[in-house]
Amino acid sequence: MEALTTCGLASAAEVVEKLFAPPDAGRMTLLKWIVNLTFLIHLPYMGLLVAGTILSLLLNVLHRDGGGKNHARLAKDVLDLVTVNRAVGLILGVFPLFALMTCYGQIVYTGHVLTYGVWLGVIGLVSLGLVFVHVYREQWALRESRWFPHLLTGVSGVALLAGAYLLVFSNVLLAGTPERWPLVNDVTDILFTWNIVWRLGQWAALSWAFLGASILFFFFFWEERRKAMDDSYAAYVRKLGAGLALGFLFPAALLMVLEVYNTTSPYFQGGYAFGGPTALMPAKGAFDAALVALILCLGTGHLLWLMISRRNAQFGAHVFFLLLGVYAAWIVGNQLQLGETLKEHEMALAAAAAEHEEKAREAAAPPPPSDPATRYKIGEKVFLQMCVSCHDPALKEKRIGPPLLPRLGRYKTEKNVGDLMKWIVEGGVAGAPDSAQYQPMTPQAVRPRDLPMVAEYLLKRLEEGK
Amino acid sequence: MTRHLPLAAIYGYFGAMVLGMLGLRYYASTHATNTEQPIPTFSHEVHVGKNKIACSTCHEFTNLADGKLARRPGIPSVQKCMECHIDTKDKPGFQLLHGFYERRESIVWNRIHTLPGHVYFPHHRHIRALAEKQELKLSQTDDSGYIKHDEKGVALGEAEGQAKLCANCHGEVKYMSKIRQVRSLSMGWCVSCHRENNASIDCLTCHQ
Repeated sequence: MEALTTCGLASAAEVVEKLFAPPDAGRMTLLKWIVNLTFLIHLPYMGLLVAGTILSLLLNVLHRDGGGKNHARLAKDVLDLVTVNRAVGLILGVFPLFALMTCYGQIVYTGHVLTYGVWLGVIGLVSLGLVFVHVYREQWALRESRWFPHLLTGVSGVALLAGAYLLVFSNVLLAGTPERWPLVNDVTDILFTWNIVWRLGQWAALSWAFLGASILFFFFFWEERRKAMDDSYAAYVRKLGAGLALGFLFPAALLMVLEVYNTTSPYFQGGYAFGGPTALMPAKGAFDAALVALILCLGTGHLLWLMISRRNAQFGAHVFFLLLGVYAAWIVGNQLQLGETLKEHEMALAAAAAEHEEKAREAAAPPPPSDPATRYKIGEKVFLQMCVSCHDPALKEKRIGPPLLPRLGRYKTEKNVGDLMKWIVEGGVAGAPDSAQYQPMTPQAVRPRDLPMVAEYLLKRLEEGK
Repeated sequence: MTRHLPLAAIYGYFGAMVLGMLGLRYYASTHATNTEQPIPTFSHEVHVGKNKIACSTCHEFTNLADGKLARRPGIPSVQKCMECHIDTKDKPGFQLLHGFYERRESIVWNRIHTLPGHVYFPHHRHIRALAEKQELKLSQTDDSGYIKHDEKGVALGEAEGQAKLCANCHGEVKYMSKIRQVRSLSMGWCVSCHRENNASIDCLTCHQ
């Protein structure tokens, strides 16, 4: 919360505070799994949609410039494939963003308010981008008569979606770098680092490879679509799909190595991070996930080459699922890295959650007893539990802490009972001439309901002089 | 033979990537900081977080007020531990500490925060500068040894304030059972903080 108030975002911070409660350890684990699964559904689909729309636009332009009829046919087919229908766009494109906003809101609870605000902006941009892409698809018949407006809707949709995912990756990176939170004042501070570029580049490369694999899968393993293709079109689609998948697999693998190197290099002695240092801790799981992804890339590359060299589409389904595996490994690796860097923040959240629960317990507990004898007994019990490890139970001798009888004199008046309670919970150096002989007293975690009883007990002992 | 060249290139490229990742993994596992300590039960979370002990109680050369501020923070001796733990011999988790004490041996802690030899880093200057920036007042005593209080009666010298100061570079130590490096301590990180605080970014400031 402090990071927020220093950013002049105190009112937004208050809203966040009211919307979310500090998550406990169990909920954090659940949230991370939800984030993993949501990203696994959302990122491949949106990557497919953006890459497919760009491919459709390119083929559309090529056809207009005098390209073959296969260009125009595939431009439409690919667009139909990636957009499916509006309901799928909502379910796989927009709804997961609400889930991600809620999960990140909890994971970085009180971290930085921008992580909530940016998600809202992303939802708006993605929704608008999807609308433009669907308009581009639905106006396909008008492309001859209204070529420029038709093309412009497609380009606008892609631009909006690309901007949205620049924000997504910036935001995810911000959530994973708590040390940057105090330095970020507005959204422009999070928009560009080279680490974001690596990540965005990797998503783009994976998405294009996945688009190629999806073309192979959906065009050759769905009976109706396969039957509708003549030989010339089938050969064209197979070549383009396999070429895209294999061509983009190379940069995807390279970027994966660079990303892992980049996030961990500051911890290697004398290491150098491409594109500026990060403060992420190396998570062993992130290396393992990247290794799995690269081995899957190797297998995918082999199958794709077989498809190209044998001139058939035999392994389309294998390639599709292997690339889905690469996606999953990449997402899991990133989340493991995020978990590692947020450990400290999570511990702070766990402490906040424990305090929250303690307050709730206090509120639900019956009122403290009013009977002096019972209060004395409770005070004595707490004293023996918490104070005698440093102070003499008889209050007379010097131990790790000073003898208490001489020290308690100053708290005799009613006004000073409050000071004594404050002293017990805050501790410190007493400021007496002999204080140098002792360590500062450590603050004692006495429950607020017990605190007056301990103070009363000690003052009673003082009265009794023993 | 040339028929197999593309496949060999695919295997060569992705194989190199896998090997590169294996190399990175090995390098990280052997070069990343070892966070295991000779007394595994020692917890900063308990000392700073739960018991709110000021950093300078144990790291004595970080105390701004008593004139002992020095270039290095000071790692506490076993004797320092014993000032509080002399009576803990029979408690579980303290045998290792008492073993060091009885053998008159130093505890060789694994260093977590390390800077390369060519970096000049005076700890005390950073403490002074950050205390000034955050307006923290640490452990102030008058001539007769009494702790000074502010107008509200709060002692001028609080563990929380000091921990907040140290957290700038060491993170929230109060939540760490084992100390971890949470800032990169890379040159870019140092320079960005110097810029942020209008400190000198001249090369010779840190590379003397």
